[in-house]
This record gives sequence, structure tokens and C-alpha cells, in this order.
Amino acid sequence: MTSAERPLDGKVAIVTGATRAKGMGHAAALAMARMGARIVSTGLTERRDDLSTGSFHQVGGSASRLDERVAELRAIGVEAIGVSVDVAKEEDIRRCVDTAVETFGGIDILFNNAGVPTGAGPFLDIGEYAWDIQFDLCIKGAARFCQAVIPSMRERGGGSIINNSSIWGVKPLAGAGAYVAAKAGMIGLTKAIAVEHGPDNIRCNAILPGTVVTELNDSRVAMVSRNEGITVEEVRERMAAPTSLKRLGRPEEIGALVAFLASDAAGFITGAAIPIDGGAQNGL
Amino acid sequence: MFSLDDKVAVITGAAGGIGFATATRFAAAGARVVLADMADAQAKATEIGGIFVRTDVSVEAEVEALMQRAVDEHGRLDIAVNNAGMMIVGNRIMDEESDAYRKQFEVNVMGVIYGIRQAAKRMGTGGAIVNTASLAFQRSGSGISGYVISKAPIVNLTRCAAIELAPQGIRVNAICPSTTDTAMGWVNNYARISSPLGRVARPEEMAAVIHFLASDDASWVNGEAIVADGAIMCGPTPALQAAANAAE
Repeated sequence: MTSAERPLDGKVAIVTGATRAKGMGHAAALAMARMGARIVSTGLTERRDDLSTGSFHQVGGSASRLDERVAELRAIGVEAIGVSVDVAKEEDIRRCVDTAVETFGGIDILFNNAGVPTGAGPFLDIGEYAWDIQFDLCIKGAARFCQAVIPSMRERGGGSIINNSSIWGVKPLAGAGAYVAAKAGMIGLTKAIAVEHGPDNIRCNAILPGTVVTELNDSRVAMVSRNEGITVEEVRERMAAPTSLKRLGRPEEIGALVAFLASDAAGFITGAAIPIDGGAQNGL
Repeated sequence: MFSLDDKVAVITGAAGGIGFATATRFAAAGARVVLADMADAQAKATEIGGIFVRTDVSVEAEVEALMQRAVDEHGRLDIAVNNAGMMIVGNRIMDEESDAYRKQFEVNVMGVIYGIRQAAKRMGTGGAIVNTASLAFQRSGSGISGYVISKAPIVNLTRCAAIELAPQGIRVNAICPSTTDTAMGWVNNYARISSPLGRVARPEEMAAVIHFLASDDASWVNGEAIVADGAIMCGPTPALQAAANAAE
């Protein structure tokens, strides 16, 4: 595959949670667009204060932010549309998939990226609400999206689904129990779909990112910096310490893995959970 | 994306199968390729614009000469794919006479160690190493214990190497292929129906994974063993269950 080739020419990809300029969703959308895919970018355009964790992170945004992302994709020279989706709402998922099929004729690729950090804190403090949010958004949202796109993929002779889990799904960090459980659940979901829909030539894989410099992580860094009275650089250095590369990941590095898994080049990779964490915590 | 323009790459076990598919794919992506194998691959190397160096990876001096040849020829070394390996079928634990364990260990394990060491010495301040392990790191079988226990350590070795070589800017990853349609592969119906995709892998599909790992686009992937198994490890397929029940 040379840089001149466009291995995703003619393919249609849906990316959830793609409104942030500095985020894995948009980075994946950009990477797939560069490889020729037509993109349906989705995001929560309504602000949902109920999902936000105090001053840590604001969930949801404005419609103009999604419009900006779509404009950036179109600037690459591919067709792209934005659809406002709350993955906790089944009617939103249905409307998104219908729109994608009406606009582009079908769906080949789905990147289930939407997620929230809701419920961070000591395990014993995780309440009913945080559990529900994590499972509704992360697992059920991703599962519902898979159910909605698989018929179209089957009609087109196959497809590729990529679920954004987390390295925490297999190597948990203390203080994020609900998130960890939901991310681990996504790996099971991924494998279940891979086994059941392999005969339809639909591949399904999970990616397990380590700490990546996204807007979400910037919020986390700022919070830790405030709480502990250390500089943001010190926080980032600490986060990078367990990696063999001694740095944090870049969104475009996650985007490259997603684009690879989306392409036929990854034709025999299915049911896999692929860490992309800079070699984090591999030491004994 | 995934360009290998101007990269110099050495691929061992490149006379056929996954190795040759990798060399071919690398060349198409812009790399200058050096093919190594015990078997003659001169004509094949020429066909894809590369050079061939006959190499027994179980002899460190030969591996050293191979990596040095890449540098002499192209002035640098960016990528090493330690892919050469062997499988002795019918290698049973109770067979006291067999030297199959030693042979497979020398090629499959020491060959990779020599490859990592001799490549890293010549990579300067950055590079990518990809080792071909096997799904056998998680899955065993009767009569292939020497293969299994010489492929599993490649995963552990890859992680150690990733940590040791990270300060030098070298990433080290492994791939774990399931049965692939090559001369070495053990292609049969069982292998096919073990995957929900209903087939074994094509060498080109393993080459594509190696290509990704070798490219700068995989710059955040380090110390990993990528399982490319068509979901075999996810669980028994309906076809496998049906076949087992039919045999009842």
C-alpha cells in the first residue's frame, strides 16, 4: 500500500464520538478519509450535563463543532456528512444508519468510539447512575450500533467493525471501576460479533488505547494537576512513565490503527483486541 | 498512509509464504528489500527489485553478515522482519531420540534473538522490528510441542526487546498468525472451519499486518503481539460444532 493508493475508495464509514478536533474519533475519520472512504461523523451535539463529571469533563457540545469536523473531512476531497447522535438513544442510531444508507447507499465500516469518563472515583462510591451510564453508552450503545449496521454490511458482502475499548479493559487503573468494566465488556461484545458474523464476512475487532493526548485526556490532566498541585507537564510525565516509549499517544496514531483494521489489508484479523499503548506495562 | 518510501528492510524466511508476501508488499510500498532464506530466492528477489542473501538464521555470523549486507548495499537499515521459522510435525514428548526441540529452538528462538541484536546494532536512532510468532503461543496441539514452545517465547522476547530498545527509538512487535496457506502451513478442513470466516489465512494478509507494524503509522504500537487468526481464539464456530456432532 503506497501513500498514493486509496484502499478505502468507495467504502462508507460511520464514526461515533467524532466531534472533538483532538480526539480519536476524528483522527480515525481523517485517516479513513485520506484512504478514500466516505465518512459519516456523529457526535453528541446537545450538551448533557448529567454525564459530565463535575468540573472534570463536559460531555456533549455544539452542532457547529460537528460541522467544523465535517468541513475538515471534505477538505481532504471526500464526501462527508455529520449526524447528531446520542448513542444512548436507539432512535438516534436508527436515524443515523438510515441517513448513511440513503446518502451513500450502504455501510462498510463502523468505528464505535463514543464513550464517557462518567463514574471516575473510588469503587465504593460508584453509584447506580454511573453504572447505568457506562453500560448504556459504552456497551449497549456500541452493541445497538452494530445491530443497526450489520444488515447493510451483510447486503454488501461484508464489513469491518472497530470498537474502541481501552487498555484499562485488560490492565485496569484504580479509580475507574465502571469505566473499566464497560471497556472490558466491549472486548467480549467484539468477540461475540466476530464469531457470529464471520460467516457474513463481517470482521469485528477492539482496539485498546493507552493514554492518548485527546481533549478528554487534557481535562483529566488539568484535574489531576489542580488536585495535586503539580504542573500539567508533571502529570503527563507520570502518565507516560509506564510506557516503553516514554510518551503519550497521539490521536493520529490511533486513527492509523483504525484505518488499517477497516481496510481489506486486515482481512484475517477479527475477534482481536489490539493494544495500542506505547508498550505500556509490559514489564514484569 | 503506510508508506515505506526510502526504508531499507531485511526479511528472513523470504523465499516463500509470509516472508515473500511481505517482501513483495514492502517493495510495492517503496522499500528497498533484502530477502534472506536457506532456500534460493535469487530470482524472486530480482523480480521485486530486491537482493537475496542466503542465510541460516540459527548461525549468528550469518545473520550479522545479512544485516551488514543491507547497510553496505543501501547505507542504512530501518526495518527487520524476523520471519524465518520451522515446524517439525510429529515431534512427540515421549520420543527420547528426537533432536527436534533443539533444532526448532535454534531456528525459531535463537534466530529471532540474532535478528533483533544484529539489526538493532545497525539501526542508529530508530527502526522497526517485527517478529513472526504464531497463534501457537496460546494454542497447543499434539505432535507439535517443539514448535509451540519455540514460538511462544517470541512473544515474551518481543516485549523484552521493546523495553530494552525503546531508548534507541526502535519498536519491536510480533504477529501471531493462525494457519496460513503456505508450504509450512498445515492447511486442512479443520483449520478452515476453526475460523468463522471459513478459511485459512492468505500469506498476503499476514504481510499486510507486518507492513502496518513496520510503518511509521504504527508509531504507538510497541511490544505487542498482534493476533491475526480470523477469530479462531474467540471460540468454536458453528461449523466446527456441527462437524463434531456429526461425528458422534
